[in-house]
Amino acid sequence: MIEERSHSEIDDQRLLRAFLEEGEELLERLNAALLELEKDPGNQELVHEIFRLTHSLKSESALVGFGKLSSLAHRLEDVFERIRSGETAMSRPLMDAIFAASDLLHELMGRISRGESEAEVDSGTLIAELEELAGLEPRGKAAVSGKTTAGPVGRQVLSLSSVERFRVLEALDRGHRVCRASFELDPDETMRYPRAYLVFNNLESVTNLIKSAPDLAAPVEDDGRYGRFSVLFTTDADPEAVRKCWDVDQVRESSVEWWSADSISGSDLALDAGADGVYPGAQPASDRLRTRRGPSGRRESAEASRAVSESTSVRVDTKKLNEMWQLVGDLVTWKARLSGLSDTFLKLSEADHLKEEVAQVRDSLERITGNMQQAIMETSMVPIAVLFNKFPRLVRDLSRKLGKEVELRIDGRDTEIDRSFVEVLSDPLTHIIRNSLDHGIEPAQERLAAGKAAAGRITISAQQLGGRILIDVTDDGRGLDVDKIRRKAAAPAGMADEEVIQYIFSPGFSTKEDVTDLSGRGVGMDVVATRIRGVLKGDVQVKSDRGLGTRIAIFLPLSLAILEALIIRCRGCFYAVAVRDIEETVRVKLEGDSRGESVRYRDGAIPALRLERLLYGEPGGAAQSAEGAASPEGGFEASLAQGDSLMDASGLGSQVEEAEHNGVVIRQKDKAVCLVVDQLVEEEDVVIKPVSDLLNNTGLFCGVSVLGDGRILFVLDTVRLVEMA
Amino acid sequence: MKKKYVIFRVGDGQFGIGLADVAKIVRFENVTDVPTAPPYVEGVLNLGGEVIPILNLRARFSLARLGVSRQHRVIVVEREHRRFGLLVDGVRDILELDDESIVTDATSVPGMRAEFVLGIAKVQDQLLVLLDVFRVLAAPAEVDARVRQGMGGVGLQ
Repeated sequence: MIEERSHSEIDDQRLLRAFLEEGEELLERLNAALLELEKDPGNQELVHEIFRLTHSLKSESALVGFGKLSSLAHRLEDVFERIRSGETAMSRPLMDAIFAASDLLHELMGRISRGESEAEVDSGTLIAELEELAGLEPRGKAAVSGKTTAGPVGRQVLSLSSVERFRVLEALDRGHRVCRASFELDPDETMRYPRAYLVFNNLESVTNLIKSAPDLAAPVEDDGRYGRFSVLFTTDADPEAVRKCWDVDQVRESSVEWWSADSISGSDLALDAGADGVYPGAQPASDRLRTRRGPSGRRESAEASRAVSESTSVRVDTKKLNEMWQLVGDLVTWKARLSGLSDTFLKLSEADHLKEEVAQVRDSLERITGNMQQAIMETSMVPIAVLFNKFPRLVRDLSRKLGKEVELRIDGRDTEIDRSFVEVLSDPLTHIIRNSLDHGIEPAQERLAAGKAAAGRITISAQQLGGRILIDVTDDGRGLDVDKIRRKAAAPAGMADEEVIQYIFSPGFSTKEDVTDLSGRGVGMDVVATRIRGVLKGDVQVKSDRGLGTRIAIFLPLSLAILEALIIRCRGCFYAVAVRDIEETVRVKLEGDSRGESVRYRDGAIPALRLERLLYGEPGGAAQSAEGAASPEGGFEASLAQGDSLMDASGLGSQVEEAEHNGVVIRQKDKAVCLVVDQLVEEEDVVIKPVSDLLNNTGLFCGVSVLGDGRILFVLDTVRLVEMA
Repeated sequence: MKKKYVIFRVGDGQFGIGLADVAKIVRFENVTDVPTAPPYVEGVLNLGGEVIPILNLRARFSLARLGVSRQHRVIVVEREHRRFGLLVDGVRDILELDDESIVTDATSVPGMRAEFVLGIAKVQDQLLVLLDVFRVLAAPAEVDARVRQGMGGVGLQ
């Protein structure tokens, strides 16, 4: 195997990072598609997708010079090429070999990300096996190293950064053509750089030069390096006119290739490792172009649209995202300051011509800032599918290893969670699922004897529930061994089973006895609980029925989640209620005594909760309310506006109050309550952040949010509100 | 070794905290009230999109609360990515102090809980109490209880 690493040094680190991010995602998708294919072997669309994934993987890895990864991906691509064309039929052994190849790709990727060499990994045996099973011609080393047209060893590789790639795509979109040209200089020539630079300079004046290798725009290095050089450019000029650019003494053209949007295809541009000029993303380019051009495109639209989503999605480092959040936050704050200042200016200034302009600038700035905040807000969320998608493979492998039959069901893939949760949740969920498979699900015979279906069932689901996200892992296995837990935890006698089983989350509960090859790995449910409770500020609970199964419920705060909220006001401060939990907003009269107020609602009565009392305590009561009255502003104003003063005595005594209030009917499942508030303000999408314990003595809040104008509001926990009534 | 300290005033006392812990010093403006928070929490502040609780050091030191004046400042401190604001009566200065000029036997500060105190320095004939801010943040609940019952008011000197 040839280990080619002579690619351009400039963007090495950045390229590598980008590759690792993209590569990992490609592998994940490959894995998911393979699992699908195993269930549905005749699905041509899947075969096609896998072909495309392996192809991208091959090109991406070749780009950063990982020969082994690339050639293995290439072989997989060849296999699927044959499956696609019907030359090779899918078989069980072939499928297994393909899965093994996918695992090996994972391993290689892992090594690369840890900075280890690929060299120690043997991919030859597996490649040979694949070749045999798929009936492929074995490839020699020369073949593996690619279509080296004229290429003596050591040719420059033109690797494109994402910006450069974008520029190429953009040019193709505009109908320009792309050209890659390589040149050689007379070996005896002693002024190589000046001559190469002349070509570079000429090209720059007639074309859009994307890249040159060696970089001719950089300060001159050792003249010897310029004996060969390559350029990539886009242009709409006539090829003959362009050709004149390299009509320079002693410069000989060694290869020139042209592509347009119609003629470009993956195999044209994305060559193998070690070949000169590797252009990643060429395939998406053409796909994207065809899609844009609509019905005349050669591919089916479904496929094309998938190609679009591929080429437009990238992974982003969470840290970077947080940084962006921070910056947008700052921007919003300063924008608010500026808006305030410009308002003052508009009032005071007499320069009418300036006033109009200032107002315009302010409005534009406000609009842009708003849009930007919205955009970043959306970037922070990912569908939980990102996390769930790796579980089918996990379940498949484990169930095979354990000789158990298991059906996996996944619900609520679209549930959006904060990007930063994905990483933290991955291990705990994996552990829970391992546990289910290892300890929960019984062997088929035992299941049949117990009157269950032979195949066990594990369900993973996610949903947004009130101000939280609920992730459930349920199995229909034998349930937890309550007696064993009781003994081990030395639970007090008489403690109910439901309580005893919560001990599995106590620190240090899991012991060696539990640690098997599968569910072991040194972490137990206590670690799971610590991570969920500690890091994510969530909660985890377990329910178990002997013989019927186990359910593990993970509750997470929404964190950076976006919430469609109704903003309400109380004593000059703002609060938010999740619109999804609101049945309706009503005008109500309060009934009953001060201990248990209620309101008439739809032919019945539901409990009423006065927000003001929840926040500030009972009228005239505790120090807390005096505390609250010291709020900087707005307290009085709000009460006056609503005629609903704290000291209003009409809430006492059993009678119907005369005054009408604003009520928000909140429902959780079968129970509804009416939250009585001062004022309903507006509906808005808000970003929820975790609320500090320091501020949340009462647990009334599930988050805090900052509005576009810098105002802070607290998000009321609807689940808790309904519980309280 | 020399370290820099932000010197501020609470009541009649002069205090200092390490500059390294300080992220920002801002005016006490646009503070949102949080009715459910403990009494020594003055409210929350929006600092570049982050919501930061503000602790009233007067309440923390069991002093009577005052109205907020123009001199009041919020010192934003940061540790382990968590930020808090400390409401102080005024920020005086930033001083560089030599470790050797700091007396670390701090039990002798009248009216001040020993665990808050890192040490005492004497600057221009005035006593300067250097605080461990994060101890101040995480003080036992008993102080809160006293403040809540209106039993505060133990002076510094």
